[in-house]
Amino acid sequence: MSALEFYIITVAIFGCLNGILALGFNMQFGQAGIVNLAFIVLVAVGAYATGIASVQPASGSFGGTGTYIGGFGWAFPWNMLFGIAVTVLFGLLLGGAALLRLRHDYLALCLFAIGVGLQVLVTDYLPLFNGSEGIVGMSAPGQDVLDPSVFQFVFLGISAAALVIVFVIFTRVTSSPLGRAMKAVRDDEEAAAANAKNPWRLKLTAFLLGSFAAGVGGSLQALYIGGWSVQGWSPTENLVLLAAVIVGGRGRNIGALVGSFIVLEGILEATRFLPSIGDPALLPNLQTIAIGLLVLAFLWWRPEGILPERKERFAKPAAISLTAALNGPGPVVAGETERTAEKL
Amino acid sequence: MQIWLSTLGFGLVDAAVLAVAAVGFTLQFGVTNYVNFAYGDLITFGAFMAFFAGGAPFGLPIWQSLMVAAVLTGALSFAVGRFVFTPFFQRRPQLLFALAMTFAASLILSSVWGAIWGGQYRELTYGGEQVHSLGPFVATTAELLFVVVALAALLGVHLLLSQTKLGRTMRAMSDDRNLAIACGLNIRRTTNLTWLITGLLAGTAGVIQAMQVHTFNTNIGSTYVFLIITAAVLGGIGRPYGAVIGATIIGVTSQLAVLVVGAALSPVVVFLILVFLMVARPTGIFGATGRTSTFGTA
Repeated sequence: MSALEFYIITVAIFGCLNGILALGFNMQFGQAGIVNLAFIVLVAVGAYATGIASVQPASGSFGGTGTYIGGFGWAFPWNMLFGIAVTVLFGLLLGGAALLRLRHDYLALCLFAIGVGLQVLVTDYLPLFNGSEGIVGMSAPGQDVLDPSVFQFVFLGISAAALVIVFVIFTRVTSSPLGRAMKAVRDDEEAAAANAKNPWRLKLTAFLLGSFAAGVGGSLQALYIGGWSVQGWSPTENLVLLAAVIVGGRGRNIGALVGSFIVLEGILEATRFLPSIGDPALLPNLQTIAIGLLVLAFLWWRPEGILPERKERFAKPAAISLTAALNGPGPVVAGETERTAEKL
Repeated sequence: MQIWLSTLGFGLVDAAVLAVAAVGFTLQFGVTNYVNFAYGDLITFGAFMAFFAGGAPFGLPIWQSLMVAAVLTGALSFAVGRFVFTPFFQRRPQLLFALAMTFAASLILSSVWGAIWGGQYRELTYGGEQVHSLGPFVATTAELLFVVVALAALLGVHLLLSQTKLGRTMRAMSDDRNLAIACGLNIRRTTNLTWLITGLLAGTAGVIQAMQVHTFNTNIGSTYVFLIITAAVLGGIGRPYGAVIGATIIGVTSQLAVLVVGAALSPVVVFLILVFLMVARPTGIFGATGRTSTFGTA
């Protein structure tokens, strides 16, 4: 396998993982209207939980330098399942508390502050996750035994499978009455509540689905990179997801994937080959500026994104005659509703 | 007992600085009616401006550096508010877009600071290490001056809000924006001046905070914003006087928490206050103003 092939597969893996995260962010931000600018914290919870489940206890393998909780030494898939479970549980606590009474700016502000606060806490309080050094030494399934090129394909398969699973689940949800109820809450909370929809439960459901995707994506990222530290979940990472959803189209799963692809490959990967000048920290900063400007440009000119959310179209229910009602449900004539809709 | 009292004193110094920052944040929110996530980046800018004004080519004394930094931060805040945020908000008044916009702007600004000034730490000190004891408290000359500057800034805000037409217009917009528009108040001018004034406050707070922590890098504002938001929410967002109370509580609590749980864990205490507020009293101690006052109740 040439270096180029290796690189392409690595990019594809990160494309899948970022796609999972963008789907999760879109579920909260696009589908349910929860402006969760601390989404990346959920990703971090998944990554850290997977990390501490995978590695050996702190005093063991690294000469006793690191300090962190846990260290169960579990193998795949138990470490990943643990990571997902912890993320969903954390999402339940955070979402349950935040969504209970907060809305709009207040919700966004409090979630943002919680994200910043957790970042400060994890950086300063070493016994939790080893501060800014982070947790290292996780290994992805097969990484230790397989040939690196074979392993790349295996992990690409795992990532792609995870992306497909999350996408299918989310598409089922968003095309179901549950998904439409979420959008109703997003568009007008009072009206939805007046129609006997429980806004808190619907938003919490979206928050938990988002947490699930964050857990899957964060867990796989930690396993693939083999480590996780504070740098991995800075607000910049959240901007990447925000950009993906704004560019692709809010409230559409496929939009989030397209946006994720554009932002990741179009800006983050394409600029990687620019000749490096000066400070090595310069490029990441310029990338962030470019992504930020992209968000502003889309908000200014095309806030609905490249693939705008489609208006729901429903077939008008066929007129129910009295005899049909008396005789009970008869055989449904296929295509009747569609034809009725076409006539309208 | 002595250690508790002197820690309380440090907490009050922290609180004074935090109050200046939180008042600026809450005032801007009240008038413009949307959250400015880029507030922390203004604080960073202020700290760096003071560092450069006091540095090699200029070598201004610290008082002049402070003023230069505050004015430059005010100018930046005015420019961002007037030429970016206000046109954006007029074009896309939906809250979702306003939040996404200031969040993106915040990361653009912080990346610009990172690209220009890098990640290394700088030092900004006033000197004034001489220790005074004031009754039960101990404080250095520098800390006393920080408190004096902060109190002067707060007094200025108080006079502005209570004595001037501009201040009354700002309070009117904060209480009921539509009514203020209907009354024919000059919304545009007030909004622009609010950006300027809150920028002055952010710059002042940034310089003092940088001198408080001695060494700082471009992250100084983006981490400090955690305390600022909590203080503003605690006092009821949009309420400048509430923010002062909120900042006092947060400043003192987080210093006293250092004694109990250690420095690394003291954010947890602030964190718990924030979570408690979210669940129990989202509008803060005094209730929020204007549009947000109805948001806390589901």
